[in-house]
Amino acid sequence: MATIPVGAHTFQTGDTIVQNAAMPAGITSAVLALDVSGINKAIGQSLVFNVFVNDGVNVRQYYASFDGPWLNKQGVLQNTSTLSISFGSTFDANGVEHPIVSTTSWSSKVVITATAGPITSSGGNLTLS
Amino acid sequence: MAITRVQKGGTSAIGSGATLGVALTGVAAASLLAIGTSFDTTGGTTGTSITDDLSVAATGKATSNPGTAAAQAVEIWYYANYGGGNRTITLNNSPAKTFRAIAVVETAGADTVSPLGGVANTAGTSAAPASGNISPAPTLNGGYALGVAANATTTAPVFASPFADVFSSALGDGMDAEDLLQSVAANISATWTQASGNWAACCAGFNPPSAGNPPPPLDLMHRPFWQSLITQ
Repeated sequence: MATIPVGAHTFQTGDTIVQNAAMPAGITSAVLALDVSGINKAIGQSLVFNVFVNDGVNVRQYYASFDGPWLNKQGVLQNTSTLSISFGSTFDANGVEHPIVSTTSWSSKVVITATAGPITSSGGNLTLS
Repeated sequence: MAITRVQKGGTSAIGSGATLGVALTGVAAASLLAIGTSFDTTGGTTGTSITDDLSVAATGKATSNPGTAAAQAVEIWYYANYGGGNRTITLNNSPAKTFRAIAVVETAGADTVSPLGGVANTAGTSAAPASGNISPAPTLNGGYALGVAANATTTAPVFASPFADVFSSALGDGMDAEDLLQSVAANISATWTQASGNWAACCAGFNPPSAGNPPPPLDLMHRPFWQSLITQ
């Protein structure tokens, strides 16, 4: 497991590259959690969490949009939103499953897109496991 | 020709938002994409759609269940005759929703015109979530089925044999997607196990190309077939 801190940012309208790093070998999933308390949903603000995973041949894009603080199942307000990713598996011609697992040639890039900035976030973490 | 699995992947989003995307690489031409989704229903049960990074919409929604007290809906969508290359498949929610999850399976060998077969969906509270038998029942060997269940907890339902696990999310959505390759046509019901409590489940079957009907018997006098029946 590797935890990469994502520092505080003020996101202007458009894309902001916040993390660009090599990925350890043996990774099959990723979780990006960030503070979204600075989003003003009433004026149409939102952040898109993009995680690009480059295996040296293909680039996989995973993403989710978030529009600010939200209520959990117990009705309690939450200020952190989370994108959870599973790389999944491939299957060979014999139907045998092969989990998609990173090697040392892999890299990841976190890009946060502010649909209408500025949006200030206290940051969060990218966790690879 | 039987349907086979090619690849699978999934993502989930805990927080309110309108989009959630999962990546596939090297999708082959004429593929069938089977897509399972789940989302919190506090903001409603409508307004969902599936598109890809080229803004191509899914062929259709196979089945869904809004859940009752589960407060977590499940849906199955699909792309027929789809391909190819590196794609990102997106669950769109309008209005925005929380506790979203999407799982995608690329398969090969499905009928490219009308692959959707039987469907089933239901909601319950037992310790054995089940979609119920899909209807109509499969009649072709070599079919495929995708099942999705959700219980809105931090412990997702556990897939059950003969289905295999596709993707599981336990961040408060309690969603699990499972699938089945069926060599011989028979009734299909997607089942899971969990602690007793509210759940919603659905299942959709997909068919390989039809083998076609047998030709009528040969009449050497070249009469219409019905005349040959009368004189026999």
